[in-house]
This record gives sequence, C-alpha cells and structure tokens, in this order.
Amino acid sequence: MTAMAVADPALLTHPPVTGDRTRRRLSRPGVALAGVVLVLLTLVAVDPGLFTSTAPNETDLARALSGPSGAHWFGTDQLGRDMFARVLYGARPSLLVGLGSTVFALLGGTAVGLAAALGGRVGDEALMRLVDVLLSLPPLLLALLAVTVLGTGTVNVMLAVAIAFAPGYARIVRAEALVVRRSGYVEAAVGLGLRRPVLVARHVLPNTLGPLLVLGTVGFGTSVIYASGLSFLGLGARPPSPEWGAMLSEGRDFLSSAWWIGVFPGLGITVAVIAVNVVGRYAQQRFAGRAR
Amino acid sequence: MHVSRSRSRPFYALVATAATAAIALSACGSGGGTSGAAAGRPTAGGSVTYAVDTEPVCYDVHVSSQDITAEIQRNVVDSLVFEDANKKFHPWLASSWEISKDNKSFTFHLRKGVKFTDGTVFDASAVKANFDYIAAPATKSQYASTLIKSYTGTDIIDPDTVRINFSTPSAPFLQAASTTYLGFYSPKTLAAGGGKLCAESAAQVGTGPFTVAGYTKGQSVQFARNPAYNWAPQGAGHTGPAYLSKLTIRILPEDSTRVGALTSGQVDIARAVPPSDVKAVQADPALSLVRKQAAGGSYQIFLNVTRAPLTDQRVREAIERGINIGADVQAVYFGQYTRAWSPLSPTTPSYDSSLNNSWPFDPTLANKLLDEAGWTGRNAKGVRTKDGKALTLVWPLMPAEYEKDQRTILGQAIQADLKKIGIDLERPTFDIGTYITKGYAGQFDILDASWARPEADILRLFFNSTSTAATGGQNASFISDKQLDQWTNQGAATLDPAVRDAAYGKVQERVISLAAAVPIYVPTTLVGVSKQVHGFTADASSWPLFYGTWTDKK
Repeated sequence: MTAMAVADPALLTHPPVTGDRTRRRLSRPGVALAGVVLVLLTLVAVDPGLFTSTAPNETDLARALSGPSGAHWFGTDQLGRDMFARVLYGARPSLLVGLGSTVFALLGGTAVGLAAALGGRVGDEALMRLVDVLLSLPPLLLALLAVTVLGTGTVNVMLAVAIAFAPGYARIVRAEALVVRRSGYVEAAVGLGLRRPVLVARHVLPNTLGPLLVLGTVGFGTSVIYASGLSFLGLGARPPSPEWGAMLSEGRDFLSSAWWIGVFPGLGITVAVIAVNVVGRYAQQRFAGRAR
Repeated sequence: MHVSRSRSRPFYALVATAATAAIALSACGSGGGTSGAAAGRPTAGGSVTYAVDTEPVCYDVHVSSQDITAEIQRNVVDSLVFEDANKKFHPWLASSWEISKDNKSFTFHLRKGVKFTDGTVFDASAVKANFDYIAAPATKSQYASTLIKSYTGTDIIDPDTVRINFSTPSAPFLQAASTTYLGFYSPKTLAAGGGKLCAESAAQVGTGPFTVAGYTKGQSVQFARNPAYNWAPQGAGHTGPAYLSKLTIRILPEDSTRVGALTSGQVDIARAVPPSDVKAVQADPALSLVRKQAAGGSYQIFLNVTRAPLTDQRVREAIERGINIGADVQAVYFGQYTRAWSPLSPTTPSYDSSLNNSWPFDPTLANKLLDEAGWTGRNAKGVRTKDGKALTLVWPLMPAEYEKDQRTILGQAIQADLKKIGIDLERPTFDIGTYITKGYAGQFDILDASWARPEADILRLFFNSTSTAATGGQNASFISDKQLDQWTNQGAATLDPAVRDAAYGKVQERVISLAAAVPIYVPTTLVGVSKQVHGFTADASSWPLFYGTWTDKK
C-alpha cells in the first residue's frame, strides 16, 4: 500500500476526485490514536530510560526464557534479557534507520528530480532514464545490492534503503517541478527578471516540496519495514544492540516454545508502521483536498 | 554464489560449516546404538525421507569441505577403508592394506568384483584417477587435498593393488581414506568433466549402495537402491543391496519447518533438531531422539596471538577464564550440549580428559590478570583502558547464511560475560569474501570455528605454524610455537596410539595454557527419528549410514 503511494505520483498530481468522501470515511479517533502512538514512540526512541530502568543488554541466565509476567512485561529472551527493555531500546535504531533513509531518499530524490526538470532536455533524458532503470528493480533488491556494495551496518542499511526509494521521489519531484515551472506565478517571476537560482529556491522548490513531505511520511513506514527486513537478514545492527528486525530474527526459532521473543519486536514494527501510515495518509488526503 | 570466490582456497567460513553439524547417531536418548535391535527383522523395500538443514554448496566430495556434502554423498561413494562408530578400521573397497615403516606409502589390496553404477570396474586405475584428480590444482579442492597434503602419486602395482605415496610421514592418511572426501567416483565421470560434479547432484556416479535418481536444486535429492551392491564394509551388519528401495533427502533450512515436518510425519528423520525443540520431540510417542557428540574439533574461539593486546598472554588467559562457559552453554542449548574443555571433542581419539575442569570460570582471576597486564583504567562505558586505549576486540560475525547452532546468541552471552570484566567485543558483519580476505590476513582479533573429523591430526591443521590459510590450513590463532609444531608433527608420523596420545595430549594442554584458543562447546548432533524407521546407524564422523536402514512403512 505504501509502496504504491510512493510509486504513484498520479495520487498527488491529480488529486483524487473522491478525496472528500475518503476523508469523511477515515475514522478520526483512529488518526488521533495513531498520533498518540507516534508521540509515545518518539519519546521512547529519544529516551527509552523514561519507561524502563532495566538495561537492555543485561543478561541473567537464571531467568532465561520466562514468559510475560509482572516483573518482565514482555518476558525474557534466551539469555534472560528483559524483552520489554529490549523492545523499547530497539525503537531508536529501528525508527532512526527509517527516518534517516527517508530523509536521504528525499534529499537525493529532490536533487535528481529538480536537476532533471530544470536541467534542459539532455539532462532530463539522461537522469530520468537512469531513474527508470532503477525503478525497474524491486526496491528490496536494490537495497540488497546497495548493502552488498556498501557493506553491512546500521548506517549502510540506512543509505541502502535511501538508494532504493530515492528514484521514486525523483520522479515525483520532477513531475511537480515541471507543473510548477509552467505555472503563472513562476512565469510572472521570470517576467520580473528573477535570476534562475533565486527562482528555483524561492518559487519552484517550496511548491514542489509540499506533496513530497506528505509522501515522505508514508514512505517512512515502508523504510522502517525494509530496514527491519535487512536487519532480519543479519545485515543491520550489530549484536548485542537491540533492533526490532534483528530481534525478530532471533525469536523466529522460538515461536513454538517462547512466542514472546519474536512477537513483541514484530508488534513494535507493526504498530510503528501502522501509526505512521495512518497519520501519513491522513495528511496526504488533507493536502490533496486543499492543494489546488 | 559466494562459492566460486572461495573455491580456490579452503576458508574459515566453511570451517564452521564443515565442522560441527555432524549427524549422530548411535548413543540414543532411548538407549543406544541402532534403534533396530528390538524392532524385529529387517525387511527390504519402502522409502525414507531425511530432512537436512543445509544444501551442499558443492556436491563434489573431492572439492567441498562441507560435512553436509560428505554426509549426503556417503550414499553414493564408497571408500577404501571403513571406520566404525568406535573408531575401528575395517576393510571396504580395500580388502587389506600395508603401511610402510616410515608412514610414507600405503599399499591397498583392492576388493574384486566391485563396479561403479555406470558399469565401469573399480580397479587400481580408478583409485589413481581419483587421487590424481584430488591433487590436481585445477580441481581446486578445498578439503580433500589437505587430507593428502604431501601426496606424490599412486603406483599401479597390478589391477587390484595400488601404492599411494607421500613425501612426508602421513599416518593419519588411513583415517582420511575412510572419509567420504576420499571416496571414489567413476573415472568416466571424472573424465567427462569434473566441474559438473560440484553443481549437479545427478552427475555423481560411484560404487555406493544408492544411485542418484533425481535432484531439484534447493529442495531435494532422490536416491534409488543400487541392486548390484555387494561390497558393504565389514561390520555393516548385512551384505548385499541396501534395504530401502528409495531414499529422499529434503532440504529444509528453517528450523521450525524441519521440526514441523518431522512431528507431522512428512519426513521420517530430521537432522539438526534445535535444542529448544528437543523436549517436544522426546515427548512425541512416534519419535525418538538420537544424540551424539561429534568427533573432531570443539566449537572454539581462536585468539589471534599476533595482534595487540592479544599478544599478551595475560589478556588471553583473562578471556579464557572470564567467560562463564558452562552456564552460557547450558542456557543457550537447554542443557543439550556440554561445555568443552579441550580443542578436541571428547569422542575424538587422543582426547585429553585431564583437561576436564582444569580451567574453570574465574572472574576474579580474570580481573587480576587484566590489572597485571596494565589495563587498569575504565572509560565511560566501563571498558578497561591502558594508555588511553580501550580494551576492544573485533570478532566478526559469520555471515548469516553460514551461522548455525544459535552461535550469534551464544556470542552475545560471551560478550556480556567479557563486558563484566571490562572487555568490549565488537561483532561487525561482512560478506563472506571480505570475511575470508581479512580473516586470512589476520586482521581480526578473534575467529570462531569447529571441525568434524574423528582424528586428532586436526590439531596440526589448527595449531601447526605451517598450517596457514594460504596452504589450506586453519591456524586461526596465527600461533607459531616450536613445541606445538614438534608435537603435532610427531603425532602425524606414527600410528602408535601411545605415542599419539602423549603427543596430542601435550598439544591440547599447551593450547589451553597458552590460551591460544578457548574451547566453548562440544558439537552435538541431535537427530529426530520416526519409530517406524530402524537400523539407522552412523559412521565414525557420526554421519548417518542408510545402508542398514529399513522401515515399517511400505
């Protein structure tokens, strides 16, 4: 769903006529709840110590694999580490990678898209054909390729996911920029003799960015999933630092005997992504309804 | 895909793969040996499905160093000598043999009437063709060639007699000759292009009790009984063809899937039952669990003695004594695996049992050693420092596809233990190529591995100074020690058990006293077997032999 939103610029350039109806159908309490969850997640990511006093890497073999209880809300893992603390501490790397890769993807996509839209026919052709090539590859494959070249680790996973999503953004930015460039106010500005860099910075860029930021919100959820996926494959966070994807991978062999090791990190990913998506789509619809 | 890169050299990654997993069969949860004794008389016919956890990267026994290759191909290729589960040698394709006094040449009198399944006669020239193929640089053998390292050639004395020659004393060769890695392919197959053997299971033609009947990459290998088979090793329990008319090996890498397939009856036997599922398998009335410690090298961590601060023996000893090995192994493996005390596993010949309990967990001593070594400062993270440098060691993670036995989690337990005495372990991940290149160059502080071979000569592979990575060795501690060299060479030069026990005992003790490697656990194989299956036995490497297996299910 989110991948489609990223890949489908039509959603923004041609706002859906059903926008009002969709907006009405969207449950407001759901959006509010998602907002609250997002605020909580942000707090957890900023300072997990606010919510638990247990260290995430503290092992205690005597209490290994105990189920959820009053003392350990999410149970303990194979080494007796408190899963609640690990899930909380895992929020930061997991969300940070999603955020970082979205930001990098937006920056890269904007640069390429603007350059294509404003760089003349040759530049446009060259850049957009390159983008076409990249878009023809499934994003996860592209990310895996990037990890292979860049090497593993949290930062590289961030970059890899960014590389996977940047082409989608580039295409949207280009389309938006082309529309904006031909709009009346830009032509007026040209008529007033504004220099090109000023024109781009003052008029084209700000008017292109709006829809992009909304898309970025939705894309953030997808980035979290992809980054967790790469971590699940052992390409991301280094043990013993907690990260949701890596924890999910560690827990998958225990689903029948100790479900809590895999389920809670998985819930973390699910809740975060759903919350971000609900808020993102809400913003998207608000924006689409108002844009033109 | 990584394989092509690695094929030219044996490599650390496969050390682990080649190593422990072994399958294991005799000493069984329900009491021993083959499960057949009480189950009535063997009957021919029927089929058995065996689930394994990995697919061989390469199916050519002469090239691959993986134990899964040897294990699967044992059904297809036979060897000169058979080593039983009690490490006794029996005639097989060779009916008798003589060894020269200097242990440099081995004369084998071949069994008559043996034929490959393509009709070719097994004779002296077939033996020569196979050994020459292994030794040829073009074969790029990762492991078999190291078993015949100083091979100089095979003399055909007459069609039924061969002499295999070495330039250095090679007493362990007799054991090597019993392994699948030195088994025999039809010379026709070798001539038709040995390259195919690696990629295509179906290309395998040997003299074994089964022939390859079908192969689906990544999924399964099917075997059919070889009806002409009449040369089972002595001690195999019966003669003539195998009982099973069909054998299917299914590749099910995901633990939960494999165990699920076993408990639901989709497969009859499953290899590598995860310790966490042992209880469930034991509780199932339709299944029994076979557990056996694999012979060979323990799972151990090798401390690179050429890299500061591990050049300081006190730091190495602190690591050796600062890991709560017993408790970690107990917790991570649910009490199914035991902790190791020696670089050799207890079921390996020449195991030195005097090492048992000789270097227990002692964090006080570990802290004292680190203080003495000058690592007295502490940084903000609680890591010890000396002259402003933190005591941080790099121990790369095995790429996920080679990881096994929950070793990453065990590693986290070790990380937590060492953190308590102020040592910080970093575990970066690399692709297998980088891992090998850097590992070879000695750029890591710690590497981990285990190795399956029921022969103490593996100590030479790991601790002799000439066993560098470049020569196919596995000296991951990068240790160069005169006494270790002398004793490992001494062991390789004789077949006298007393001399070998003494020499290898000294090697094991010295490795521990130098803290060149820290043994962690004894590789143990857990196999779940349906009670409808009988006569499921193992060879000395604790790999399954399906020759004597039969089933009630027809």
